[in-house]
Amino acid sequence: MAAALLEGKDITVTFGRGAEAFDAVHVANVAVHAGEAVGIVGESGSGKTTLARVLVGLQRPTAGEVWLEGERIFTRRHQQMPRSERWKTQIIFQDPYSSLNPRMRVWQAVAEAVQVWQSLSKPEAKLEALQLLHAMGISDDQAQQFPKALSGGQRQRVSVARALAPGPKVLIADEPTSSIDQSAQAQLLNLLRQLQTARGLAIIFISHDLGLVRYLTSRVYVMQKGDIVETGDTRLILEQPEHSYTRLLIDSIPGR
Amino acid sequence: MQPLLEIKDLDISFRKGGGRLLPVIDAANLHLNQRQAVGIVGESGSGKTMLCRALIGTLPRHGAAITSGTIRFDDQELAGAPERVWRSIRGREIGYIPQSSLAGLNPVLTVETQLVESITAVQSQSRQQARQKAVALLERVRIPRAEQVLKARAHQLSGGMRQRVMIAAAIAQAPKLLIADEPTTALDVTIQREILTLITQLRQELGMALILVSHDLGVIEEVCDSVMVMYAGASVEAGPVGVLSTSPRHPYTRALRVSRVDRAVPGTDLEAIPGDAASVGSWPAGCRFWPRCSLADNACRRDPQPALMPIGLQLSACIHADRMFELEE
Ligand SMILES: Nc1ncnc2c1ncn2[C@@H]1O[C@H](COP(=O)(O)OP(=O)(O)OP(=O)(O)O)[C@@H](O)[C@H]1O
Ligand SMILES: Nc1ncnc2c1ncn2[C@@H]1O[C@H](COP(=O)(O)OP(=O)(O)O)[C@@H](O)[C@H]1O
Ligand code: SF4
Ligand SMILES: [Mg+2]
Ligand SMILES: [Mg+2]
Repeated sequence: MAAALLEGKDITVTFGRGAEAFDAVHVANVAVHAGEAVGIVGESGSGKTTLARVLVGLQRPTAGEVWLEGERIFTRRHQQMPRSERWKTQIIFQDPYSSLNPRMRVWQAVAEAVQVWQSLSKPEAKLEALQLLHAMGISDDQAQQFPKALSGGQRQRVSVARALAPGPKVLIADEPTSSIDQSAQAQLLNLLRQLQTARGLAIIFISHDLGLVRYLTSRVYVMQKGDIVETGDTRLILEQPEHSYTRLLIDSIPGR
Repeated sequence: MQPLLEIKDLDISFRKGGGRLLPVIDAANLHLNQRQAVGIVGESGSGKTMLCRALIGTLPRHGAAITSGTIRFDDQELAGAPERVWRSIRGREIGYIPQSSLAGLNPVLTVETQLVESITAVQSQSRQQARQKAVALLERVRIPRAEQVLKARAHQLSGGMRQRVMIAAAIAQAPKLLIADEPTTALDVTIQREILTLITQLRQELGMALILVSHDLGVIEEVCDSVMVMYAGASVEAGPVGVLSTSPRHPYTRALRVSRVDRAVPGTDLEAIPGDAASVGSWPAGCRFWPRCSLADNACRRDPQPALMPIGLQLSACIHADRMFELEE
């Protein structure tokens, strides 16, 4: 198999000191290839978000390395990625409320992300922003508003448009669909799949919705208390979990 | 039986500059008996959160107001009620867990400061009394080591813990009705289950009715007795939970079911509703769903938004509710 596009090798993140120290992530190995979608599942506090933050350079690992396109980009000492490369990995967060600037109109927030990473004129960036927003089901009228005039689900879709704006190679999505309705969720997943096949977008999809993970991803990592306890083919793992913890997760799905 | 809450043909508008009104809710209807639980589902942006805000009297804070219709709660009319009345309702009779509640706690204040504040805001009592009450409340929402948690700051708590604290604040006065706007959306599945179980237990202990807003039909089926579906500011279908999932009588409700990802084959496209979401300020004339509806005909485009009418065990706002079987699975 070709080399991974983005890879976390033996990642450990320790929080706290002395007797209080604990590993939020413990010697975790994850990789995603171009055009591949992998899932990370695990209960609250198992370290999924912390691991994701390490992969995009928002959190310094205590040990381990992050590699992008065959180059080592983050280690405990070295947290510098050249500015010109940063568009390559983007992350969408779980909480849509804190991630948008309240003083910027919706289209501006997206156009800014378009412009920072692609050398486009202002009108071009605006046009591209409006197109992206439209693909996410946000109308031109709504694009003119400030975030406070949008509903929770609309804000979440703006965050997605903003992350896709620079045309990243890897997208890490941390619980991105729980605040939108089924049809908007279908729209988003179709768009992600399209980017995956047409542009080779690599996706790391963190979700508590195992149905979604089953649909979108081909491999999955199961995390428990900082460890990756099980990994492999998504359908095999969700259908015949070896680890009792995976079984517990599956049984927690509402409506079962 | 006398219903606890009856919302009839409620209309809400934002007040924009120059006295212009921008309708956000037009024809919301809801019926809720004492101690019962109703789920609200619907397109994002359809007005679910605004409807919740109408029920705790905070529309003015969001630049909006009720323009017509009625909200009958426990023998009182709340539509157009003055702030004095709302003060006796908000928090006391109707508790509220807002949609953004995980972000709603101030990260740097202690739980004690925030919980005691929400207790004394409603009842004047000494700090000491309020503190004891806060401990009891945290215990009520099954938070272990309540004394310790009182001293914690919000950012030190996990999402599930913070949501328990928000629930504690919402039930502080043992309200008759609890409104929870997407209370488990930002939580992981195991925690989600704990929170839903907690809400169900509290309902039984306190005899509370519940309005639960969620995009997760599985959650609503598990927790609620009935469900109301919103599209573009209107209630388009209502009825018992099981019936709406197995035999929907509105094309929008049906489309929600078809888009469900657990039915989809990996590697194939999901069936999203065609066309654009209806957005405030540009609802189509006629039935608001017609541009996206495969059953739409001239009558749908010509006549105003259909009213909710009984059909079988439920209510539907579709003039072709009897033709739902024509839609392919
Ligand atoms: N100040 C405002 N001016 C204009 N439109 C607004 C304003 N505030 C909210 N809206 C619009 O009102 C509509 C209803 O918002 P609401 O928050 O009630 O939606 P919702 O059904 O709760 O959606 P979600 O499921 O995404 O939370 C949205 O389309 C939103 O864009
Ligand atoms: N900045 C931080 N300081 C201390 N502990 C943290 C910090 N961020 C996360 N944690 C802890 O690390 C653990 C893993 O958290 P997280 O990665 O958010 O899990 P998940 O996303 O799987 O719910 C949790 O116990 C959490 O409380
Ligand atoms: S009234 Fe007509 S357009 Fe509206 S939902 Fe029914 S069939 Fe579709
Ligand atoms: Mg997380
Ligand atoms: Mg809402």
